[in-house]
Amino acid sequence: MAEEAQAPQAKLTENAFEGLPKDEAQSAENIAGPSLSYMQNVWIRFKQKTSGVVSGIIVILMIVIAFGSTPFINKSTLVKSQPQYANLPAKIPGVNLNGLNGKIKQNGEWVDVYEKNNIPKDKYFIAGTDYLGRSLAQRIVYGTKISLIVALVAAFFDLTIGVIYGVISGWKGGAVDNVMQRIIEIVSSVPNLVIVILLLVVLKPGLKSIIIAIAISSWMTMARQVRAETLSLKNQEYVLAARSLGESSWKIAMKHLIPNLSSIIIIQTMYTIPSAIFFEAFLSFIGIGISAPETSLGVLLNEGQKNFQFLPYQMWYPAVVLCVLMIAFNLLGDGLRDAFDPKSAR
Amino acid sequence: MSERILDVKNLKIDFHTYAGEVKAIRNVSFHLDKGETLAIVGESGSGKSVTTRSIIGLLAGNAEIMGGSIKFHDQEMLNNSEKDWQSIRGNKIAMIFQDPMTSLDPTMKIGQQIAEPLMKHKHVPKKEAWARALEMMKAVGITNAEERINEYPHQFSGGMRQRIVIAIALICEPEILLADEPTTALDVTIQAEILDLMKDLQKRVKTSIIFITHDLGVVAGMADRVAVMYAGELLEYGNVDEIFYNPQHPYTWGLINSMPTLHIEKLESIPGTPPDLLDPPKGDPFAPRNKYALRADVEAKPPFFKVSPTHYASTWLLDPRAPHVEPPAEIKRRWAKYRELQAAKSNS
Amino acid sequence: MTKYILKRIAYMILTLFIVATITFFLMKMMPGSPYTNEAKMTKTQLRIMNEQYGFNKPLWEQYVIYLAGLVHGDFGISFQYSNMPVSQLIGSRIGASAQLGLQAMIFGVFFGVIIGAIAAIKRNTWVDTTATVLSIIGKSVPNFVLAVLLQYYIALKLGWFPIAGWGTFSQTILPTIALGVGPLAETARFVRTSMVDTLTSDYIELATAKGLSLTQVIRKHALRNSMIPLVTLLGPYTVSLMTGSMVIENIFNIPGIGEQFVKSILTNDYPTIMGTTIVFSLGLVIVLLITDIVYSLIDPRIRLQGSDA
Ligand SMILES: Nc1ncnc2c1ncn2[C@@H]1O[C@H](COP(=O)(O)OP(=O)(O)OP(=O)(O)O)[C@@H](O)[C@H]1O
Ligand SMILES: [Mg+2]
Repeated sequence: MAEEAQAPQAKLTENAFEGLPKDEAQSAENIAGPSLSYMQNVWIRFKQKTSGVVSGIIVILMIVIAFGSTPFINKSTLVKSQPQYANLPAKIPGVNLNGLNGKIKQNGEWVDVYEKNNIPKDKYFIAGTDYLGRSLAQRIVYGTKISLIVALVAAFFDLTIGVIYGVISGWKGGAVDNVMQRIIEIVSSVPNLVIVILLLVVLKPGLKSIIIAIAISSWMTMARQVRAETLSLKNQEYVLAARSLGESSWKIAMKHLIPNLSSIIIIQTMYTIPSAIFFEAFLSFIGIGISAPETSLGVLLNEGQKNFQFLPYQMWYPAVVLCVLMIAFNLLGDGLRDAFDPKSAR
Repeated sequence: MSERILDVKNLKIDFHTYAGEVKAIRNVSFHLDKGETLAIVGESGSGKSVTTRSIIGLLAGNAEIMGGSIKFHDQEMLNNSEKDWQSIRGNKIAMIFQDPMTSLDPTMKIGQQIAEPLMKHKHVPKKEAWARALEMMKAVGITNAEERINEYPHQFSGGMRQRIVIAIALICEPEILLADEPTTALDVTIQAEILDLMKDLQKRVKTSIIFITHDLGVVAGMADRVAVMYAGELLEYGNVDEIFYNPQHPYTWGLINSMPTLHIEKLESIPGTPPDLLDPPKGDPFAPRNKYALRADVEAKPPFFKVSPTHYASTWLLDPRAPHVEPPAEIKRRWAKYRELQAAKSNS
Repeated sequence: MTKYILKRIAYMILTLFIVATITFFLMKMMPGSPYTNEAKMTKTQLRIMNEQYGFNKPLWEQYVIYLAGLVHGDFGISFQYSNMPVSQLIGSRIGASAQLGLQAMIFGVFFGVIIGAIAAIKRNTWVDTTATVLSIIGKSVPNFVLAVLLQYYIALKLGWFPIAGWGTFSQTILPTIALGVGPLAETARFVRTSMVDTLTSDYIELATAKGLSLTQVIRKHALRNSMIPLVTLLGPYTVSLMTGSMVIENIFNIPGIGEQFVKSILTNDYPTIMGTTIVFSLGLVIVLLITDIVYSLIDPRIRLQGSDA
């Protein structure tokens, strides 16, 4: 096999057969780029996926709009009913698109409701109004804020109760772990939502009660996952080494566990959020969550559904916002999962 | 001269990745004769697995063969359709993978897994195939095979699972067995058992073996010939004695030096890391790590210099113009021994 | 195996006991009396009512009576439908819910497996992308929103199916879809991931190296291995179906326990609330037990603890 492998006679410089100085040998080597830290790699992978990035931007935008609106849209502006403006469709000045120009389809014809009801020329509602003449746009923004508050609360309890419970259970092991796992087992043999509903029945319906109910019911998946991961980390060599060197449990948890748990914690939080948003909308929709005069996306859907046949926009707008919110958080979760665990992105 | 069953010439393989083209295999040529064992050795990432996989048509989806040829008897394998590959795999050419713990289907009975290739390629009815599987289990040294044939992989130890994988590979009596680090994942004692088993079965089934390893230690007892691979290229090849006792390429020196033997107290590993295959060096790829590097090594690729009719090495040190260099002590010791052997041979 | 199942059943009973206890005391803390609807009751009437329901007895005694009743399948008397035993109320409605739930589960798992498997086999092609987008949407759109849309556009506008009600098969179709899309999306995502894991595993590579064709590899090795873990989703699906039934049954006017549950909450009918909670939990623990048993039967690696190895 040798003969055929002969390379064509190479052209060499005159002093080719001198030894190669050390530094030249080094420079001959292709210097690979500086190695990146774990988080840098995660960030690079995250940025590669459009859906994750776009979702992240949408989530940020929604947060900014919802919370930034507080001075203009709050409880006092929300309750004001203006019967003269009731059930107006969307009208955006300058837009002449049926459905967004104050017209609505009645008996197969587009009718300008603003004109028909003698609404002043300069008065308009970009997302229309509800049956009490309240601006739907304002109510949707407020409802989104409620959804986001619920989301943040759920995330907070996930990150505190869920993580701490999981770490303790996994780290202590033995009897402590056993008892803690039994508790989770019992709590999770009642559907989460039933727990929430029972609590809402006992407490007065409203945002506070929803928050308490979520606090009690939302952290269990996180606790399970963190426990499983802690269990496997606990027996890893570097943790064993730290333990045998007598480092305190607390220090080990801070130095070794939390950084290694961070990916599953972040990913799980991203999945808790949409399910909390769903819970709130669900409860308000069936009438035991947020109640009038406050509003939320679930309340708006419930109200919109009643008139869906005649004024479909009253349900479509909050429905679209809710779906976008859910999709954005789910995609953000997927994006982060793929960024943290490249194997999942295959 | 014995019959040549596999001839690989100037094989070039690229991987398309986000970072660019990884030029994983560059101009690799070797052959395999009937009944012999060829060992391919080299550090991790040198392209041993990619080379063997190309022989059985199992390259990753992002791989592209850029040139060269792989001839199995007179058949050009690079022109194979997927159907052609399927009729060869497990039948004429079989492969054993590195990790026996994950190589077996966890939810299928062992008997079925061993019998499967036979049913596929030789169209043997199930009952007969299972009977052959049972024989094969006995041949690879699984005791109590009649009962164990109905068990599942998790009921076997790592060594036992590798025996089962070997049984699967050999049940169709292939002409070539590709063994990609078959013992790396096993305990040292079990490693020796598996190697003995392979040698034993090789004689019975009359198969040729391409044996891949990064551990020169296991090569000596196993191989007839050795090819040394580095960064996607072959650097030196020859009979096992020639590589062990008359090595010529400084990389081979390094490998031998890092092999634990009775004569070396301190294990020496080769300092540095292999080059980036996205932009491989134009000269000798080992030059940047080579204490004995010449200016020529970075200027042009050295050709293969003939050391003996069976032994070739690609290093400028063998060029008549090259200066004389002093190899490491251990290598000099081996050279001396080699000369003794040669002298003894020519005297007798 | 038997020993393990017995142990699990003991745990189930303990769990249900704790659930019953917590529910009982929670309901006792409930503000407002159940009679608020009939505000004009006289004191005597109230006393008679209290006696009839046993509310004049000390709390612990009420608790013991309640538990004793539970053992005999007696959940007390519904406030909402006077003199109707809760067990009878639930019994008359559980059939519809069970049928709807089962249909939704079968619908979701069946199509989810198909979509997920195809996405995995054709991964990183437009087929995969489409499947991924659809499953994200299916996972994100709340089932009650979907239900309203289906009801309006498919039933009312197109007239393909009845708008609401329960009895004929065609009436079950839209609620089944509305309820099943969530599990469908979840199944598709799960099967895709699990199948991709399987297809990139070493034993699939070995199966390919044996000379099997892609179809054979998938049929004989990949499908079974990637479907087995699906069993673990049975519990979460049951939860999601129970939850969904509350609102889907409401929208489509189906006489099931979900719809009943919501009604009893809105009317403070707490014997029914308690009864339904316990029935939901019972259903869930039974499903979880079945999951364990089925898993151990289809996956040779799982040997139930407590059984001889
Ligand atoms: N699918 C792939 N995509 C991109 N690069 C790849 C791929 N497979 C292999 N490579 C690259 O090809 C080179 C050779 O890999 P190969 O697996 O053949 O090494 P090896 O010699 O078998 O090493 P080891 O001893 O670790 O098994 C490596 O640099 C690797 O990064
Ligand atoms: Mg390899």
